[in-house]
Amino acid sequence: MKNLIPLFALFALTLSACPTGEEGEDPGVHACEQIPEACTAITAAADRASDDTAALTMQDTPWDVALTSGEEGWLSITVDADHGGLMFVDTADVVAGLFHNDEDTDELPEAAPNGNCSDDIPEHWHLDLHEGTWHLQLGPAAVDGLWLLLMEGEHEHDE
Amino acid sequence: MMRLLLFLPSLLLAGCTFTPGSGFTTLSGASLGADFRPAARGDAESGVFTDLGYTVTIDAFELELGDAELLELQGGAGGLFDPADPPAGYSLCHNGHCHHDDGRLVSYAEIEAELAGGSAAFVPIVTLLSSGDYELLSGTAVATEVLPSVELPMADMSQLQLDVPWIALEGTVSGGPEVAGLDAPIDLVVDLDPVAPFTAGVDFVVGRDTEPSIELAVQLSIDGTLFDGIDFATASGGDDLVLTQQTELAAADLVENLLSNLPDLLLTSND
Repeated sequence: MKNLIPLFALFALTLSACPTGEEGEDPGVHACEQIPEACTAITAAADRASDDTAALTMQDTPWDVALTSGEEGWLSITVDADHGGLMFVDTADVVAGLFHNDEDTDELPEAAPNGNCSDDIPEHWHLDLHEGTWHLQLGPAAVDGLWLLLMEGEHEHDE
Repeated sequence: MMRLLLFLPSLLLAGCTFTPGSGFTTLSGASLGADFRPAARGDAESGVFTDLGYTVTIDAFELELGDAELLELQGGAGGLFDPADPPAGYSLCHNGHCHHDDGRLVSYAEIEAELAGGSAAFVPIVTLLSSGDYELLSGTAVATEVLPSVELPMADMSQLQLDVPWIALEGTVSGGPEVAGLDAPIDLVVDLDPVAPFTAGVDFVVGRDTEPSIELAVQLSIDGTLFDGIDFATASGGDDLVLTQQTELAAADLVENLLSNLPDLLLTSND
């Protein structure tokens, strides 16, 4: 029995070394894996003033955003403390702008494909989200829906 | 005698290495192509939606493709950098590009050239020759000649540069922002001579592992954001809009949007 103790200890140590769930997974890979998964449905608001009715939260699972073809759609993101975010979408050129609080300056950075599955996720952004309410403009575009994943990412510190 | 017998085969083998005119791979074909792909923004016939709420229908869309050069960064050792820790002024490096503080997407090769200072320069290895005007709505690809040779030497090409000397477009614009959009549709005519070339980072290495025969295709696809940021109501004053000078704000916006499209390099092995 005495000889078995180190074996148990080793086994326990091995288990504790394994990441739990998706911990440590590359966010780009995680986004690709989420494509066939179930989405949370949300309908974009018709304008910025009413986008509090279409509030996104950061989560590890995707959103299925309903849009009206040819018309703008708006989503809001409420941020309690400065942090980074990562946003992935399945259709290029639908996300049109990102605005902080009541400001008119578009703060949406340049998009880039997700290198892990660029056909499925042609655009993604690293977002530097300061405290407040963010307004995400979608369209106008000739689509009636958008797959969107918004999850926490590294914060770009101001220097 | 024995020495001579050993020397002769080695001489023959050396002769294979120095056969004049043979490269590491042969280009069996090359083409230049261009098209308009508005994708989620709509289509040319029924309308392309802009971020400001305008709808642009396009009757004709042409451009001239100039030469396409594949370039290798030569000289200036020490220009390499870690994309995970980019130099000052750059961030968010992925897929061969970094974001510059001024909003530009800059290829790794360009950053390496910058870090190497004046001692590094992009040198053309192969050039796909211009084959004239392209109708973007139908989308065309045309076989082209290459210079200096279809035999490619060992090289590490990291940048693609494509000239577009001329762009022309005819269409109609309607709609716009609810508050200050267009009351009635206006005609749009574009006839511009963009100056800056299109540049894209590529990863085209010719070496011992390269297939002996390959085909090259350079494709420029213009996306549906071409008219974003253009306030047609303000620019036109409600009349038809003719853009021929890049000094006009709307024309400058259009050219900037145009140049944000990166040409693609497609390689096909024939084996």
